[in-house]
Amino acid sequence: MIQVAKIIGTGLATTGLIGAGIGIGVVFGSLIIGVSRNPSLKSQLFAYAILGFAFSEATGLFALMMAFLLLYVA
Amino acid sequence: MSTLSFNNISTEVLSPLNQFEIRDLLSIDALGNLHISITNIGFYLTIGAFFFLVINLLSINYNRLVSNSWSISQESLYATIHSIVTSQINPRNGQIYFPFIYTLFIFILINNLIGMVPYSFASTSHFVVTFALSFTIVLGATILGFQKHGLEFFSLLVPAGCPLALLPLLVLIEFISYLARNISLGLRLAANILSGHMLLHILAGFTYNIMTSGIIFFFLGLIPLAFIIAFSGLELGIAFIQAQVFVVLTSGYIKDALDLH
Amino acid sequence: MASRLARTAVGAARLRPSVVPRVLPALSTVASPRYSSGVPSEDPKTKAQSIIDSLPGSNLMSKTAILSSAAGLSIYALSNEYYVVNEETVVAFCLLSVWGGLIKFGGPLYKKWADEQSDKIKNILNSARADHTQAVKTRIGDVKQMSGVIDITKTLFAVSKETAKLEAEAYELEQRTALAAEAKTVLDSWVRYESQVKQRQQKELAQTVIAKVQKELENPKVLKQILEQSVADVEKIVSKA
Repeated sequence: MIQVAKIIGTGLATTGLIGAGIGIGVVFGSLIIGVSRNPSLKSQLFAYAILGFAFSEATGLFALMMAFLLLYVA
Repeated sequence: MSTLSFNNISTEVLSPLNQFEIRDLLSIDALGNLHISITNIGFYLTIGAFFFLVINLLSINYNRLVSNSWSISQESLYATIHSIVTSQINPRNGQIYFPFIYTLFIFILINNLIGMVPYSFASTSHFVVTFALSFTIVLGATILGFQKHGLEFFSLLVPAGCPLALLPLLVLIEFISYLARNISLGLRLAANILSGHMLLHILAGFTYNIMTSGIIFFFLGLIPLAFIIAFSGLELGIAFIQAQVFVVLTSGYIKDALDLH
Repeated sequence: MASRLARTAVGAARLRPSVVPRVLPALSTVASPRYSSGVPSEDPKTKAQSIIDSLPGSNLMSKTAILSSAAGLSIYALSNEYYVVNEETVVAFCLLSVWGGLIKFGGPLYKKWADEQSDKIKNILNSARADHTQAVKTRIGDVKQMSGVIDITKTLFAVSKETAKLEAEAYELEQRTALAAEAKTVLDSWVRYESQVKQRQQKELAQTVIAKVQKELENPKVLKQILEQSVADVEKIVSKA
């Protein structure tokens, strides 16, 4: 029973990755839009995009970490 | 691998959390209850320190004016951190925080990279390390703010130009978000490294099971193997990016304490 | 055990970096088949040669020895369970591929970039040195032009001395001229005054003479005498004629 609950909880926790995926997509999509509008800013925008990617990746990894913790530790 | 000792895991499969286990390498039980030990986390932190010491010794290049390849890497690292500090904190007054920020960056980067070496140990995946860093940093920034501004420091919690009716709520929210910096700064780093390594091990476990179940499956397993290699590349990038993010956020917190928005 | 060995024979080659950890080319031998497998244009023979070349050792014999000893060592380690192939091996393989790829492909790029940077620094230093040498040379040339400066200074001093002397003489002459001019004006004014005085005396004399004559003319006796005198003169002239 508790095993089942663990697995269900893990599955629910992984839904947090939806947001991370959307976030990463938005970050890089905006990077492409920004660069196509003003190619001279490419390097600066790329640095910001990497930062934004790291942030949204981190939120996704929080969800993933919760999933792992539920599956293996709890 | 050693026997499983991570609380109540009772399966025959190696847990992906097994790699994060802290063990005593050398320990002395002195003076009754005092237990002094060198754990593997301490060992790997020491290795990191020696590693960076060696890189620096190579970079000194006999104090020559024209730098060799090692010192150019150090110089570009220095320039990168310097630009972060000057752009985040203050172009002039922020420079006194540069040594601290530089040390922080090198510490996190070296430990992240040591975690990427096979069969080694990722020190920064431990919340005890990253929370120690982040709590110290936020506490230090708060002390800095109180020292510089006195009780005026609390104006950090009041957003500019907010209506009076919303003020208590907003101050509460700002206060909670200020406290959450403690957690989020360390959690971000540790969670990234932790879940990266865990994901790598879980995927590797799957791939290992595929590859050992037959000669056809061995070649079939090369496909997920390629994916894991790509993911390892991403992990390597994350090792750099997280060190940078940590440093950028630290600079931002110091700037908040100095300038109050 | 035998089946396990056969199954993990591929793992033996991967194991080598951990058996011979300090040999850097071993990393690239692990990494190179993975990354260059997508290039079909390469001749298999040269490919094999390049793999052989990338092995440590100087000649083919030592390479074979190293390879076979590594294989033997890995088989020994595996059979005695010093090294167990498990999930960690897969992780190790992946991480080593990434590191190997980084060293193999990123290394030359970094080397190129670093060389460029140090060349830039060197060029700046060399050009600064050349500029400085040039500046010093120009300065030396400038100073060289001034080597006759003592003679010129002496001549200049003599000239200036002469000039001063001439100036002094000129001043003296000027003073003398001025004195002469002043004397002349004084004398002139004296002469003018004298002449004026003389003129006035003559005028006064003439006036007194005229007045006396007119007074005498008023006297008829004198008039008659003059007339007789004149007649006598005329008669004398006529009688002479």
